[in-house]
Amino acid sequence: MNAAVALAVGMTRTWVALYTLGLPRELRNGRRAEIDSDLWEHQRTAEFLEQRQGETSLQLLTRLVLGVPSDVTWRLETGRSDRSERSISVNESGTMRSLVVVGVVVALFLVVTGIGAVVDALVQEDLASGQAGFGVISVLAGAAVGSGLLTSRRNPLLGIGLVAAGAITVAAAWYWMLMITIPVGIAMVAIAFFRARQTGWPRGAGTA
Amino acid sequence: MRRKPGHLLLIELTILEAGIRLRMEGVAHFYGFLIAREIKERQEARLLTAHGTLYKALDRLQRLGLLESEWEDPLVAAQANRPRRRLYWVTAAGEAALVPAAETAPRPVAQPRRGLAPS
Repeated sequence: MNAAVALAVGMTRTWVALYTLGLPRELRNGRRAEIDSDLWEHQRTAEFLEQRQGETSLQLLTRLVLGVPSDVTWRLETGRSDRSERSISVNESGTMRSLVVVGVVVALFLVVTGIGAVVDALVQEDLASGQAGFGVISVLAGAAVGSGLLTSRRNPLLGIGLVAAGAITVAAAWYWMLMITIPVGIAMVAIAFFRARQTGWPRGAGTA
Repeated sequence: MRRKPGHLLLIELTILEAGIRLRMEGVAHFYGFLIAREIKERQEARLLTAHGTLYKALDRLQRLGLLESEWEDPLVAAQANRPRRRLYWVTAAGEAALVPAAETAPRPVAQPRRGLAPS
């Protein structure tokens, strides 16, 4: 496996690990194992067809990027049904849901921008310029913010921590936009915090 | 996204159709990547279905009872030196759902798509 394919596989696995955070173990491990199997089959098929490694990595990244909206909606739906199965009586307000959606859109923007930077570096075969690294950092930070927002009700500490880590990383990586990234980052952390508070956290009810 | 109960998306119809076609060709069970490749070849698409699109659709079809699945025997996967596959098959309800759904939805095979289905 060359560096580009390894990067694409790693990014896919990282994204799957992030959006399955907070799900029941069986569901989480099932989705991760299924994607692992898919990645393995994809690589073996590409080798069998003697496909260029650059083409394989681009295919893997494209499959990752175009699937992100479905992953997010699947996560929201699955999280919702899981919560209802656990009979959580705390309802989320429409305003909070809207804020979370806005936050997830911002996170998706980071993910897409980062993947665009990586793909561009791969196409230009310019992995040494730091653009690919910037892209990977943006993807991971965006994924952390998005998954943190989504998990902040189920697992408040983890959710808020992920959002904060992602926001700090973005502020550092996009340092020329501090006037924007700092207030947006604070807003993201606040959304995660108040979302967690709606479950009664930190007085024990937040373990739901 | 709110959908009418029982309403199937194009990707879901395509998966059911491809699963039935594979069975007619002697492949009793299919796994994610196999069905993605089957759809790509059948539709002469340039790219495979995106991960999120594919596995969300498989999950929903299973929740609707139109597909069933089980994890492959670990020994089989170990002997083949690869990760375990999650094996799916189309249920009788899945076959039954395909006909009326296909009558009211765009034909998945008659409209070749280029590229991936994002949702």
